[in-house]
Amino acid sequence: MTKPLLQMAGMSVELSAGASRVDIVCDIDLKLNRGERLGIVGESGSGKSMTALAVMGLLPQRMRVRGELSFDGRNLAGLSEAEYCGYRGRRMAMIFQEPMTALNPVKSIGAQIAEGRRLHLGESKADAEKKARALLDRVGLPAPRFDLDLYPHQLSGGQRQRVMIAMAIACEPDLLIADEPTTALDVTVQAQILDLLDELIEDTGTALMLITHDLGVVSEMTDRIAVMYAGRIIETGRTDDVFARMAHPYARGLFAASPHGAALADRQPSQGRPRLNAIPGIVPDPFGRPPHCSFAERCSYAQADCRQAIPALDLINTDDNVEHRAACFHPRERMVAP
Amino acid sequence: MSEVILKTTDLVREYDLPRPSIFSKQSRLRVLHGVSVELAAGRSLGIVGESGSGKSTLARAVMGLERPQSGEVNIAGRNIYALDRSGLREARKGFQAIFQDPYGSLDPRHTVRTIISEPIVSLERGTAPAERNRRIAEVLEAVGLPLASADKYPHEFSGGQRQRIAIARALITRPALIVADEPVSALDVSIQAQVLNLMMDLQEKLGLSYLFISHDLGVVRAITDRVAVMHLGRIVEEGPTAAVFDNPRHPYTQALVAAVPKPFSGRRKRVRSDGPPQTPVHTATTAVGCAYAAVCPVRQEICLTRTPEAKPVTPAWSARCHFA
Repeated sequence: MTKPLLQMAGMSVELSAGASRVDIVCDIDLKLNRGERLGIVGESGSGKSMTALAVMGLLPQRMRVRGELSFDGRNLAGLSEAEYCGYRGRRMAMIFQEPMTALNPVKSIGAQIAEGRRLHLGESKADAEKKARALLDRVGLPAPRFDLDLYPHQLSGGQRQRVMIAMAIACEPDLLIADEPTTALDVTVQAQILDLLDELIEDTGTALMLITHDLGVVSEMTDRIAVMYAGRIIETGRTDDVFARMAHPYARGLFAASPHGAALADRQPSQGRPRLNAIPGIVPDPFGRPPHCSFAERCSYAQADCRQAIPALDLINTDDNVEHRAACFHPRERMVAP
Repeated sequence: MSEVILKTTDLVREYDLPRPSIFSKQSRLRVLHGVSVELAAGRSLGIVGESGSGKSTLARAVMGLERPQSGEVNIAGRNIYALDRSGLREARKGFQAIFQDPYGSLDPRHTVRTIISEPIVSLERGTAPAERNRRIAEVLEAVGLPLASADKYPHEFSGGQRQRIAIARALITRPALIVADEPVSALDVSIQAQVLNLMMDLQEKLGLSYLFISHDLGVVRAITDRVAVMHLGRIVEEGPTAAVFDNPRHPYTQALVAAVPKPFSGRRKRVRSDGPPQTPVHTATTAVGCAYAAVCPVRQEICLTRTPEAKPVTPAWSARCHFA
């Protein structure tokens, strides 16, 4: 059995604020191989972006990684900043959420795309720019309309996101992390960007970690998903299996609360407007997470034992050698009708 | 037929474009090309469209914030752009807005009490303090916030609670019409559902009418009775929400509905397009032909030469397409 490309085992991200310390991400176990697509789903504050930043070594200064975090067999936590720079952009690359702010406004897009190749691969300016031209064509920004000399402000949001993708894939990384790549975009542009990502992953065999809160996007883009809540993975498995069962009440609640959810399927026009199935309450603050299941306060199935211990991420099923796990003392059985 | 609370007729709004030189003629960008919508009292009308389609401009025109170059906005039977200052001040009590960003739309240096009471302070001068406090308590209760929140500051609240404060501020003048411009798009899914449910409860309790602007088709489907789809400053399709989304007639609405990723749909089916993706752009003036023709899959000769009129599909449903 070969080592997975990315492995997290019992990984936590610790934040120290003054004298107190708190884990904003706890006990993450994840594996990702080349060519695989993993979706991470959760709401704001669930720790999904921090997990991605931990992999990229871009955590804010007061945060620290504990536990195992290794990439291609090397422990990332032990890397010096200089060694990390050799990985970042070369072996692993990230597409950020806000194409408006993630690009450098005073450098041309050509220079920004070529930068990685010149730095990591030592290419000459001419070669790197030739490659940048090819990359822009690849992401659907052809010459002469989309010249290398353009600046980010001359492009629309969708075009900027294409430039971000071109930058990320410039050095053919083994791992591509996309943090809400389409959240800031219109649906039709989102569809174009998802098509592009899908095509690139198929062609290059890169591993994809897609972070999103949109259940529709993960469903269409990934093989496996991990649902996060309050810093922990609460359900993980094959995307189809997780969608079909939704064993954890939070996964189920998240789906029911989304306006695409099944709740609207049986609306009866005569009896007023049907309400959405909102999850009551709010996500607990990282400093005030309870010493038991952090969803218990909002959960309609909570029982006495839910308020005594934190449930482990237990195996509930295995399908195609992929384990389906849920962190719940009382996992749901009934399949949700699609 | 119930009473019409909001009626806009042929709204045209243009913005001046920067002039290449001071001698060149002023050119203009037409953002609203004669938009007419109607909203019955106690109902909600959704406006959907992509960024740049003019939906927020429409909201601003309805709110009396941007005078359209031509056309009328009638709220409760009065043309708000024909009113004088004091008349408009009086009329404003009847329509209030909720904005998108609950972080940016509340002044961080004011207490919730000051924020919520601002509409009565400015629109209903001379309200007694006791009456004002009673009204504050009333709206806080309506949006489900404890009375003690009145003396806190916006930063002490979560995004969903802030949006409740924004709703309380809109409700305090007891308006009949609320213009909500993307009120839930900055919120998480579970919180979004709470705020939408609150808006539906308030609508039933107080008989509010909503002009609900959003790019999220799911949200619009959940809260509106009728929907108008905007594309480049024109309403291309309008009808009962469920009917329009289930069986869209205009090719643009079809593309919009098809582009939304849906759970349970399995791996996405890619549409291999030949050539670069095309984006239609605003026409500076009223050009001939259909604005969607450049990217339309069912385009014919006629689309380039004649601007389509709104064609009725059913009496309550129309689409602006030659082939609808």
